[in-house]
Amino acid sequence: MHEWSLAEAIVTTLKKYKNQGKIIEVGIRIGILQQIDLEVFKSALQELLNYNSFSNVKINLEFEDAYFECNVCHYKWSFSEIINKLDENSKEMIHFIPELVHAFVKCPNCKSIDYTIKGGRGVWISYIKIQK
Amino acid sequence: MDQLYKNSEIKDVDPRIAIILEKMNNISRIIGVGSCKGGVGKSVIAGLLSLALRDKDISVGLLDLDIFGPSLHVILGVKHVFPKEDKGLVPPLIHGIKFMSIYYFLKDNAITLRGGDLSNLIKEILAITRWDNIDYLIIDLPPGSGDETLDIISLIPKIKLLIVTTPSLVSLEVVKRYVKLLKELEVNLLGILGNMVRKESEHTFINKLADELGVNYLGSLPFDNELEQALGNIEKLTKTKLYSALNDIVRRLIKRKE
Repeated sequence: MHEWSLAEAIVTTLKKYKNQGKIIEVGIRIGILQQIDLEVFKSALQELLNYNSFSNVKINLEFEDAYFECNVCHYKWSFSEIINKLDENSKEMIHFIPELVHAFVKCPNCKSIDYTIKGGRGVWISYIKIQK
Repeated sequence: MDQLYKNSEIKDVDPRIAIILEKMNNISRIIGVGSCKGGVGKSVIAGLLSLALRDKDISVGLLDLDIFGPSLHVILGVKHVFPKEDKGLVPPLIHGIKFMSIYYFLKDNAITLRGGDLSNLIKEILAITRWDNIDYLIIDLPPGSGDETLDIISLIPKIKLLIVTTPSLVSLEVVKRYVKLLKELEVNLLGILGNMVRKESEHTFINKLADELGVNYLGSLPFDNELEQALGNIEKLTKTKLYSALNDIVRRLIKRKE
């Protein structure tokens, strides 16, 4: 239930904006590198929203492929291209901490381990709409 | 139009920042053990400090944030454990200490990260780790004042830094710069702790430097020839003269409510 802590982070952030007005909609971007269990995440999020009196807030989920850029040869690639080459243990470690991808994946072009995650790493709030 | 005028939209919020602050606020005291350079015994001191607090029936968490060179698992003799998944990651209890480290995930794999990815990794660990209500969190910081240290300082405003130095002129010279930087960043400083001290004159010298820098001098720990043989064995570690000396300092700190 690591997804619980990600949902908890979202709701804790919303609590911070509660005094600015009525929160009516939240956009959540989910990067696929973290490989969250969507059903578990949605269920945890709903439970926490209800518990914190946000049950009427509209949640808009969007998904983003993770992509990388090599700092040596500047090759760009996406996580969906390489996910099937990873063993279960590596995938699980990346699920806990997405940046650990650096320990298990090399640049497909030059085999360098020096690359940057350019997007799609994890859970992010893209917007919060507040009615004043 | 009227409705649009009344609504506002906040864009791009990292949800981890708020949860980190909330989790850290549940911890009474947070001490970052830092040093300006490597090899001064920072990790050993972070480990022994945690053991000394544990021995006083104080609940303590220990976080190894030396991402590129985690070593506390070696010092504490940690093997074959992994955090439990329960509404986050619950650190395993190691000799009565809640211990979290990147080692659990990396094992023997090496890792290299640049600024943004490194910051994200640190935020993720802080956001998902469940310390719950502990009295003290000890954080073993990486040496120097790089991204990890700056991240920790900005993410955990209540952190107090314990600066470790040896009597070496090289270490002392860099401490001056380190303290100056930390003061400019308005970081709370717990004080300077001398390590691997062999002579009274060295103790006096570090004390004088701390006074000049306007920082508390916490005391000095002796060079301990038997430490190497005790690494990985808690029973032996807590019988070293290093542990005994640190224990006295911890007793004083607790008395001062630090």
